[in-house]
Amino acid sequence: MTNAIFSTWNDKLLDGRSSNTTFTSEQVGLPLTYAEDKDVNAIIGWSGIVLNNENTNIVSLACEYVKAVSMITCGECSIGFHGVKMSEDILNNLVQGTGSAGDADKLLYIIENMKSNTKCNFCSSAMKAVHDCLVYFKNDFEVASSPHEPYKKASVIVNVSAPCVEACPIHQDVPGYINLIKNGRYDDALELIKRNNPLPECSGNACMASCERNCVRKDIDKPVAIRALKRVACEYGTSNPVEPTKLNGEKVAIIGAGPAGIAAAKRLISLGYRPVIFEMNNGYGGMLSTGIPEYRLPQEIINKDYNEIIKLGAEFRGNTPISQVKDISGAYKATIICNGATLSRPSNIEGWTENDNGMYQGIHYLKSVYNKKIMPVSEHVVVVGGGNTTIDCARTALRQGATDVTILYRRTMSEMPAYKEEIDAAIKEGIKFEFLTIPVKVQRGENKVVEVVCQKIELGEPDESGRPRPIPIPGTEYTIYCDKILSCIGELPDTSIYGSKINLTDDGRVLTDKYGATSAKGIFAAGDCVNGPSSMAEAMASGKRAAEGVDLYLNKNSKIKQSKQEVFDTYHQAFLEKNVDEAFNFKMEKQESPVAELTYIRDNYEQVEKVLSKEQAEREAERCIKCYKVMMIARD
Amino acid sequence: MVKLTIDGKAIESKEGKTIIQAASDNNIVIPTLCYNEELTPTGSCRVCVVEVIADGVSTLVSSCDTPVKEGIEVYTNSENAIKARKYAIQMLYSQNSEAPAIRALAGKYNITEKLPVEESECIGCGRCYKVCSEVVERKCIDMSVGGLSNMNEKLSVKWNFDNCIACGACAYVCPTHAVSIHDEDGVRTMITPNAKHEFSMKKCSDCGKYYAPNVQIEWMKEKTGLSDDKFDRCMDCR
Repeated sequence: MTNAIFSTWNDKLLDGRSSNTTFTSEQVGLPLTYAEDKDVNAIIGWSGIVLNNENTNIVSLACEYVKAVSMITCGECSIGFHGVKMSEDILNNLVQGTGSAGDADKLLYIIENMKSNTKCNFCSSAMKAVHDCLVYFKNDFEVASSPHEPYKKASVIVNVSAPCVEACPIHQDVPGYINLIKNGRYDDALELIKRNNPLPECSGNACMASCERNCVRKDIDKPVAIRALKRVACEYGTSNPVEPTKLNGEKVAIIGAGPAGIAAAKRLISLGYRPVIFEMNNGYGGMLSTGIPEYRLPQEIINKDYNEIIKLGAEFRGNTPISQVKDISGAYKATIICNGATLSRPSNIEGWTENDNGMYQGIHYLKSVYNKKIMPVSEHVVVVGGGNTTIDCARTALRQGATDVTILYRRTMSEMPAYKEEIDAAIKEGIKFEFLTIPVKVQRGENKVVEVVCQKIELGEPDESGRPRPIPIPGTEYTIYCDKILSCIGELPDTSIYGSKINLTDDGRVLTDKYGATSAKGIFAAGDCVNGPSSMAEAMASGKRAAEGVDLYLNKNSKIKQSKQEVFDTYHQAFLEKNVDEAFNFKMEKQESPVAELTYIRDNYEQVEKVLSKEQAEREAERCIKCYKVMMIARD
Repeated sequence: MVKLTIDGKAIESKEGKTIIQAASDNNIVIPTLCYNEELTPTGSCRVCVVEVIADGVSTLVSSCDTPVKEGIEVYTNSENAIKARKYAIQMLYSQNSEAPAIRALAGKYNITEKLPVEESECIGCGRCYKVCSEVVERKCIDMSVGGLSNMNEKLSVKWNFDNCIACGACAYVCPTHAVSIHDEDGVRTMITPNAKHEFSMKKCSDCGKYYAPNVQIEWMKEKTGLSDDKFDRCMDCR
């Protein structure tokens, strides 16, 4: 049953019951199967009801759905809270055969009144689907109100999310912990964050916060400062001390101690395995340490998160670079490769010589600074690129003693992939930007770079990334004097360690299935080596999923719920969309994180962003409007 | 300034004011229960619902927490507003039909029938929570932490007595008397919807009368920075 016979989704009524017509997924506006071919009998959620199988028991379906809704209602207004509760009671009676005539009318009265006058959008929009059931399947409810044997309980998969939760790769319960912070319950907030986040401190300090980019409040005034609030929970909250876990399971090798590797380790521990992490650097963090400068994410913060997972039972072997995966994979039942994207995309600037005095790849530069290698002090530095590495390099160069730093970017500021706050901080620190500019040639003097020849760009039609294609304008060449140039135009995984049995994508990433399994038996991969250069949160999500893949592979009684995950993945897009009418929401002033006033910048690696005060945090938490959404899939 | 109309009357209001404030400034009374001018709105009782027409679209909103906007038309007693308000009052009446404030509203709107909800003195309006965090600044009341991961604790107002100074502000603002304080034999007892707590009181060094809970005096000392002897005597003997 891949087509629908009835739908009210997105306020679009499609009713093929009398004419026996069916509707496609495109017409309905929702996927109608999950995992490509698995049938769904019905979908019920915040935007209506979709019926694929006409024999679905609507009353039983509505009852299960309202039970799920009732678990999420907040109780901030009694119309919503008691409205859902009363509906649940009535529906339960109808399902059990203990209802009475007039129950359907009572239910309709309650729901119609909820529609117009609840405090937030949640209950009213959630109950719209039940309203649709009552209106279009009236007869079913009338039949249910006379005495009968209890109906069979519908077999369902429930998903609760929100635009911010869905945008987060590790699906943190954002409104949940914000609400706890609002009530000053920092310990509970931290515990909640830690439930599915192995690196709470790191993400509170340096997550790219895709949640904020998808926050519904963005359209009212400004997004809620979600990342800053997470940091608040880490700062003021105390979580239960970690006890070493007794682990009896197989040892699993992890290559790389970046966020993907450590997330995989934590998930493996929770599944009873004994992870062994091989790391080429001496310390913890992988790219978090070598790629994110101290002034954004101090090493001690990274250590705090990592120490906890090591204490839980992960074995860490530092200073242990792996030259070939097969060197260790033979000794373990399973191996997870998390070697990141540590090589730079080759620069195509004329005159570029790799690792020559004065010419550096951005990530190598940052790593040298991390390793406290003495870098020659330069006066005039040029950084090429528009991502976070570019900004990190530019701000680090200032701290390394540069007198001026110029960023060359081929598009404009609005197309820069770097975080807005980072760009603002760079501007504040005096970094110059040359937009619509590319470097074409590096001129060398005696033993050093002396200038870079640039060319201006005009923007054309969007390319495959959706951003306007940069087109060089002939005859616009000009030169900038500089003595150091850093290229930050993207990173690639180091594929030299994989061997021939691991298949790669055309652009040199490891090819895996949804659970990180590679083409080689028992070998999994996660993080940037699979996804390309991406965020800490993406890496953690990917590492966690690969750990689950290991369990599915090694444990035939695995408790990993694949079908639940498949449903979540299928309806991801629908959950990302906003469901709140922002027109009538109060504007509330955003609490900005305090920043360190740097009196000097050279050699100053003090963390720039500071933590919100408790008062600020509790006020900021009030701004969350809790845009939870519930969806339920019924299947056989 | 923002121009709008309320019940057909053209008015001007400062930007940032709520509809209920703008109405009140112009002597238009909108019925409420949970609203308190001294506190930020909770918007929980929904009695102050009004109909707003903006850009030709009609919406029902609670007037206590909706800001005024240029060009909107507000109707405090339209058919839709009255219908929604009646249901809100019916909901309150079903929970607590004894509280005078609710009885008065029910009487005015002819509500006699109850909905099948559990009766309770506390109607979850949130005034106690607001007064404790905004005025007393103690934050010892938790309110409604619902949501995805906190499923088992909702519509509960919980007192954290460790932080409470027994000032009684919550009892003072409660519209249904679900919170109360009683002083007897040197003990102040606070009765809240789900708990009871006793606080020892301080004796006046002159007349011997118990005059305030010890925790409250400690708090005043801390706030004022005055020495212990300034708090030895009751108001009458000072």
